[in-house]
Amino acid sequence: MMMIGITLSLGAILVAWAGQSYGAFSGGSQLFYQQREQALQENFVIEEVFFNKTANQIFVFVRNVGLININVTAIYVNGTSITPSTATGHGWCSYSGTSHPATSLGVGYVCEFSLNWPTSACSPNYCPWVTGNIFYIVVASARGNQVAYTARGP
Amino acid sequence: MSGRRFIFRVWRRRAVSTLIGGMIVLSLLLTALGTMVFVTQQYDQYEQTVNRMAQYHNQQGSEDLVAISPGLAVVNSTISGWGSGCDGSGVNKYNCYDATISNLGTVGVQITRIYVNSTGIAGSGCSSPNPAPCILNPTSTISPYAFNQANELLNPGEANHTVLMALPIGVGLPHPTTGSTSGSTGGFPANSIVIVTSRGNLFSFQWPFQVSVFGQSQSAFSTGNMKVAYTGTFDSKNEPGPIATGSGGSNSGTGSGYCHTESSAPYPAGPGYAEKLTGITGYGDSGVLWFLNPWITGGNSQAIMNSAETGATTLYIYVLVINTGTTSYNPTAGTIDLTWYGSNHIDGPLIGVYYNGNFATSPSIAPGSFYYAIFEIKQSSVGIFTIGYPPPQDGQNSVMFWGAASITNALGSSAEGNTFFSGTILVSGLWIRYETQSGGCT
Repeated sequence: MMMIGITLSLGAILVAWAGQSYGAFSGGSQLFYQQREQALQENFVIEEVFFNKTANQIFVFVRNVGLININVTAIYVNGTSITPSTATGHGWCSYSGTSHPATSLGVGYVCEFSLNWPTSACSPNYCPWVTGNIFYIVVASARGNQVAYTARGP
Repeated sequence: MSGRRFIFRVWRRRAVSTLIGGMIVLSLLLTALGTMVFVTQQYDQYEQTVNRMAQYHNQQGSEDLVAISPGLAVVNSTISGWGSGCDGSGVNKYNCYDATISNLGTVGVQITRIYVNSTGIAGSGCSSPNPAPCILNPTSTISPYAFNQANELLNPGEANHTVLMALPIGVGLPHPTTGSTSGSTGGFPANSIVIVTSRGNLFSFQWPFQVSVFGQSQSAFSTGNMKVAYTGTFDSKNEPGPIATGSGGSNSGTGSGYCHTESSAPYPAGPGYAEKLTGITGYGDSGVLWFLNPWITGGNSQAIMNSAETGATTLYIYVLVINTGTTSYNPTAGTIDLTWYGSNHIDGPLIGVYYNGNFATSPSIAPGSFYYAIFEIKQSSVGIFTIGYPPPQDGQNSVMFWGAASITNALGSSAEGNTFFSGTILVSGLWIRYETQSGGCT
């Protein structure tokens, strides 16, 4: 009886440990592959950047050409995170308007992000542009993908 | 006996423990196997996605669109299935352009959007205060800032596919700016057209096309907009046909089969207008020529000129030429040679240059500016420019003329070419597009 009890106890512990380990392993791998899949299925481009010098605005047109919807979580101009004032588009371009862009963008749709640029003084990390300045614009998604666009200011 | 019984009992209990242990080990192995199968399935699914995206990226990289000369062509007719307005009729009038594009790629392409950016002074084309850039989305019915949805798909290898674009009547491409504002030195009106595909690729071209000139290290030529003027039965104001009521001609449609409805405008006028050039001494009606977008009459004749009066008919053609070089030059002479389908060729000399609102024989053309090189073609009979078989169908866009214009500068350097003879250099291929419209004036 004692041997049976010992065997059963050890077995229960072993099964519990193995089940937990295997579960964690398979769950982790599932999460990893799902995330990698979704990241792979994301595909978006900056199709146009337009400068409105009079209004000191930069318009960035982002199109989702991937297989799944995306969330635009950050836009950087020359390494500085810029919060768009608006995001408009034809179709699904849902903009939260908070400190983060967090803009949902449906497959095939385009969002027009309007970035305000300081008119005179530097504010605080970026200054009014000078004609000919190079702008390195990066748009990042929630799944970690980025697209970059280099433009010369008017 | 007691010892044997004890051993048996122990052996029996050990067998049960072994059995239980074996089952536990077996269950662990099965669980591990299940986990491996599950992970393998996940990996397999991931690999499928990787392959699918690799295929997608292959297709993305296989797209290749190029604009074909003349890049954009003005359209002045009603487009079947997309609505009216391009012909200048109705409440909603548009400046319409056909973009000629070839798909050199190996996959079909869907155009999702077109951006047009214009350079030059304020108000020229798609520059502020007009929307800048102009954003054209596909629509099923004509509207401003749109392109025809029926034209959005290009088959693999499809050549000379036209995409019809519509802009408001107030936004014309290009909008010549030379001399139109005080202190402006002008510049050639350049428009950057960016075509966006559904796979996220961008293809762009400049319009008017800039043509490179072999051997021209300092000055260069480029062709762009082109219009024609006629004198025959009437002066060029009324020949061909009436210009839009109240804005130009008074011919009321008699004596000509032409049906122009373009509004008239003085120099410099956009491509959608009948452009009035004055001061062309010795030509036209007291030095006035009205230049229109070229097109032909319908019916059986398919004639470009169909005057009721027997007598001399003169065709004037101006070609917008851009000095894309870095120094000034004087265009002193030149010829134009046109060959049209099913007939012979016609030719004529350069009679002068229209530059900064003035007509001159050899002005100095500043770098970056444009001028109209005006050629004269005289013929001695009516109906001279009849189109040979097969005539274009009603509403069909057709390239009727092939040819070349040559211009010589004061230094003797010549920019010339011929599209038909091998071994020569094409400098300025003239692809004159005509649109037919049967039934006379409407």
